[in-house]
Amino acid sequence: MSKLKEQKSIPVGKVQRATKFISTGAKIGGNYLKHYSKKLVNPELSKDELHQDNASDIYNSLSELKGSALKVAQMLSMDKNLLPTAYQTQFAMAQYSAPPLSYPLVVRTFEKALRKNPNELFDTFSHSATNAASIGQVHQATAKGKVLAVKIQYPGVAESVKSDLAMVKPIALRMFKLNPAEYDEFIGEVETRLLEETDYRLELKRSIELSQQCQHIQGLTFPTYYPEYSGDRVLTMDWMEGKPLGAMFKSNAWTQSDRNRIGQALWDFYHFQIHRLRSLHADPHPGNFIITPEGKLGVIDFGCVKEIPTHFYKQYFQLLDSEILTDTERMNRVFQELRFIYPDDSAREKKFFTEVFMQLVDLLGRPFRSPRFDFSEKSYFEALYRFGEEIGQMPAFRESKRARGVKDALYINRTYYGLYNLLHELKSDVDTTSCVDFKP
Amino acid sequence: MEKTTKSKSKGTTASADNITAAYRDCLLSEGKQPASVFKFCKDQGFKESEFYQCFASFEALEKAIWKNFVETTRAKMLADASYSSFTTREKILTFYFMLAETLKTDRSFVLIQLKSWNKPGMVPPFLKGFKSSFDDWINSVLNEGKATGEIAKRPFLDDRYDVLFWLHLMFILQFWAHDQSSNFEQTDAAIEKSVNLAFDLIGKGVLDNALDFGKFLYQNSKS
Repeated sequence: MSKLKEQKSIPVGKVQRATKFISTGAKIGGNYLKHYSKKLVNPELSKDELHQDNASDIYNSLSELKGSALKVAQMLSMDKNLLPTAYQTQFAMAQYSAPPLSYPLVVRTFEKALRKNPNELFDTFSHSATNAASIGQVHQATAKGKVLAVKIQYPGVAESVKSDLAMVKPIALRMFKLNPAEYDEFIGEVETRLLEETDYRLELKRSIELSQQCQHIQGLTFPTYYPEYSGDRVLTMDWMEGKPLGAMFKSNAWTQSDRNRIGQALWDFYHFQIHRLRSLHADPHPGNFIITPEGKLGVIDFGCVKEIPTHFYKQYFQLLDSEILTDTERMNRVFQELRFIYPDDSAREKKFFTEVFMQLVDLLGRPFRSPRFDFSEKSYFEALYRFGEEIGQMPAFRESKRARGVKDALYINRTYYGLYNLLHELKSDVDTTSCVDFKP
Repeated sequence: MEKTTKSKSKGTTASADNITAAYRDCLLSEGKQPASVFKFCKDQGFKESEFYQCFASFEALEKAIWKNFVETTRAKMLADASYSSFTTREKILTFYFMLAETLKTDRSFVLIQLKSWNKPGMVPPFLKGFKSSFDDWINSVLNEGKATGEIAKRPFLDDRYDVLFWLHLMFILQFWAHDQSSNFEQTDAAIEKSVNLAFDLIGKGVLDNALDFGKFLYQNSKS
């Protein structure tokens, strides 16, 4: 484990982030000004150039912003397909980037949570962090002959989530052309998830539940969690030896059968959760998985969990039915339920969005339509990305005054997006019918 | 510090601790200083001479309470075996975190005292002992830091760092007094971030290179 460099630079505060937003706002204002002054001269000018200017300014400032604001942008952009895929992959990698905590603050946070000094509770406790977690850092400890990973949360994260979300609102409204009510609905969903991520007690409860329920799935392994060493800002689990999943992407040390086995474990893990538990680990990020020396897939972070409401489950997973696209009446009903189309859309809009979403459903559902699917297939992912980019450039899509989709789909889409990408990077060939067995 | 009730202290000889606790109780319930030492002693059942044996005045008493905050914190820190192996930065962080913890048990008292401090440029009388004890400690820690090289030696400047840290401590005290976050989490973040910034400034870095370059230019312009 490499030692992380402790904070040496001036941390980014709320004020700085706020000025960042303000300067973006000013730039966008400037772009409109530029657009309208050009339009005075040339009335034919379309808004496309303006959108391009806006998108690049927004991207430039967002890529400098870290933290929850970035996550919000990431979620929204994935759903609206607004940003080009090159940006999306960058966003997908976005993590909180807080500098590591000093040792005294670690001790302080630990004492507040557990009323004891870590050196009293553990036989050893590492002075500096061994790993960064999304909103905290991990220290290695030993107790009773066991090696433990102790995750310590950065103080003030919950507050900064709230203030970031409040700041992102005016920009996002303009950027994604949502109306405020829709924005609140989507942001409410993101805010709930982000705030849940800061609640380590909840994470402990969910980690124990989900890891016990998924224990039987072949090829998976979970650490044991220790409630006696955990609190609202501290979470303790077994230290898992192994390589991060990301290391497998590029390395040649893995055979195809290794890749298939790990990929299958991932696939089964997600579909068991979706169809049986109706509650899932909604953050398929390579950093959340470890490959143990025995070649098993270790799941180490249950910070982000989405519970799937029953009515939504019924609506959404009808899309995987192979007959849905041929049965027009049923398709229209499902599309309306999922708000891909609205009853009061104009005939032109209805036709346009129906076609776009049919294509999307066809494309995204493809792995389910054959018993096995090879995720290493480049052409499939290229088609997927190209389609995403096309949608992003469709003016009708971008200028739609309404959100297309429902809030519960936000994290399910994100999970599938992440899962497909992981499997693609792993180059796995997966038995996709295994999820059928999980269906109740 | 436990609150002693009236009946307990009656009859027995009043110790400094008893008097302090009674005074604190009085100040917090009344919101202001008692009218006189005489009135205070009469109400609490002390002899006035007992009061004067321990403290010369209410101000001296307040001063002692504040000084005690620093002394308790220092003693707590030294009790931790790993303290001596800490870097200067870590020692200072530990001090602030522990001080915040100590002050938490007496927050109402601290707030009522800070409210009476209306001239920010001046050190109020009740903080004088607190300051001298802090200065004492910070100077010994800073000297250690200079010896290990963690703090840059800068002629004329580096012996004024204690002033800098005193102002810093006052900032933290004010921040904590106004902190509305649960468990004063934001104060923890403020301490961490501001100490890191302070160490960026007093450690070897940009400032030294700038000074060095300035000196070079100045010397060259003369010759």
